[in-house]
Amino acid sequence: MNFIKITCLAFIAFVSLTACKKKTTEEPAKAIPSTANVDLLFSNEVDGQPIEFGKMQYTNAAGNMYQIDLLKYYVTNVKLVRADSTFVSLENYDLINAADLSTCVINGLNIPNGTYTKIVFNIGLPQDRNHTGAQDGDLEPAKGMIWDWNTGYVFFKHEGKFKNSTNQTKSLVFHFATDRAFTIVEMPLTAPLVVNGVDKKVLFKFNLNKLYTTPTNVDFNVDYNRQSSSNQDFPWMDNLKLSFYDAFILDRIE
Amino acid sequence: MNKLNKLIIASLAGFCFILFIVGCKKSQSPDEQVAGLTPYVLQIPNGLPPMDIPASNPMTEEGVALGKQLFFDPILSGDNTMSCASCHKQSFSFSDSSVQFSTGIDKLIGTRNAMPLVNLGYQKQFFWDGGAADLESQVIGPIQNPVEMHEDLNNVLAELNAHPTYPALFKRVFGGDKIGTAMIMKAIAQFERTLISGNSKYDQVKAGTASFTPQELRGLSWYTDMKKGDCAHCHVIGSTFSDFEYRNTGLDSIPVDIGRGRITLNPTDDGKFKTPSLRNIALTGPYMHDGRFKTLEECIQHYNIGFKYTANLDPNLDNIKKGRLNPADVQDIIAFLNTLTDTEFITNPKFKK
Repeated sequence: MNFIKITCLAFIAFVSLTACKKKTTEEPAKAIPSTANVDLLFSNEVDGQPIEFGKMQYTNAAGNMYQIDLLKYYVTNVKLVRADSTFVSLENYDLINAADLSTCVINGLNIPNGTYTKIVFNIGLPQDRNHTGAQDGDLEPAKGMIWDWNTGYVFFKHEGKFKNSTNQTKSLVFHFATDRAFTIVEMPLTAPLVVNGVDKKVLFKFNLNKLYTTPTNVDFNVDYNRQSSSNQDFPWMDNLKLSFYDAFILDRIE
Repeated sequence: MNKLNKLIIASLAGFCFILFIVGCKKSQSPDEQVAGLTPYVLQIPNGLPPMDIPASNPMTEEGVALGKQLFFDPILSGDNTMSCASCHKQSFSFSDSSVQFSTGIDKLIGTRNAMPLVNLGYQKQFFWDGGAADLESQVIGPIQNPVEMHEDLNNVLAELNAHPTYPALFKRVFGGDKIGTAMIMKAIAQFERTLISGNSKYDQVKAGTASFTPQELRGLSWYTDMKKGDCAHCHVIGSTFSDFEYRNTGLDSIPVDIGRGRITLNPTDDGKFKTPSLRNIALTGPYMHDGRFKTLEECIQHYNIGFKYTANLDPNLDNIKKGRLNPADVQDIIAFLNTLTDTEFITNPKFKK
């Protein structure tokens, strides 16, 4: 009788301990932890060159010299996808600021052990999070990424300068915004991410120059100030959406 | 043995109990409401519908009081000289006296007439072009606008977080250890939702405690007559006196300010602006998004004879005859519009600093 009681209580204790865990393991392992942390790191560069702000030292595919004064973008709702299409969602809203390395890492905590063959994330905010400023964390309006005259976040910003065709220095402003700009990037992992109780790092490279090559090379003499503010920006926006696929590459998994 | 068993069971039971209590507790995020606040009960006058309060910003006495303090506090502006109330004055139904364009802290003037703040909880989008997607998001527009309060949000946060009394007030209402912009937005929105007007002569007539003069009654009939005033198509009769839709009312052949088109990026919305409520309309001149008309008579004459046949013109105007109102009809409609003035609203001590 007492044995039954103790067994029952032990069971309840077990349930209590596990009840609030968000993600359950598929195969409960005995010796090794059933989850591990996976960090996603974003290394921002231009054709392999590291980013140095305020230096006129980059050349785009169209041959324009340019510099970067500001480079920020939102990476949200990261999903680690298994071969059978099931996935673990990080439900994150992270602002990557290339000028601040501490922002260039997204922490995936307690990722269940398993083999992940694809990583999917958004550039920008889905519609249900894009139309109110009363939000915290990286969506805090003081981060300077929200429009106050047309409620919505700027998903990607590149500001800087370029040398125009007559060698004058001109301002360069690219603000990628509105629901039309919402972009989903799928990164198939040729070598899958195997989580087996040990923390992992997935390193991505973001090549800014790739944003200015799809489907044809962007000439800054023509496109140097695009702020998603009229329907004349739509072709530029639609091209940028596609080019994000090329801009991110998987570097390695550690 | 028996005793030992009981002890084990008791310990296990206690352990389980603690697990249940602590197991599912989430850490509190800063914008979650702190317990122990007094819910704010909105007094909705007869004749106005219930107001939907967003679940993400429930109203409390403490939140409304904090929002009111912020509304009147110049700390939100760049040089701490201007508050929301500088251009939204109670005696003008929270619009800016009789100026066409308000003057900001840098002595710059804007391009649109300051809107009255009345019955805002019935609207879904804010500003003349509806660019603010909710009342909370509207708050940071004027604070940051260079021609208005011209302040950086990081400065606002630094000033408020260093203030002798604000940190404790914010913490009480919203929890968290640091004041964030979302808290400012929510507090001011809470106060603004209390700015309810529903005791005009019109409301009193509806309630049976007053009666229209013959001229006011004629004005009401022109207001609703689709061949005369045809006001009610957009400024729907009763409660909010607007459907808050966006329309091009033919102010210009080629719109100087594209209005709604700047928000949707759709050229068929160019020249469209939000239909404003007509409550307290006698107090909120000049009129239109750019304050171009000084009087209600000029407004009505615009719809009677002045409107231009422009692209995107509202179909109701496109289809109606010009010159259908004579000068006496216009005066009748003005007499009716004057019955929408709510003197209790503009003198209510609850809305004073």
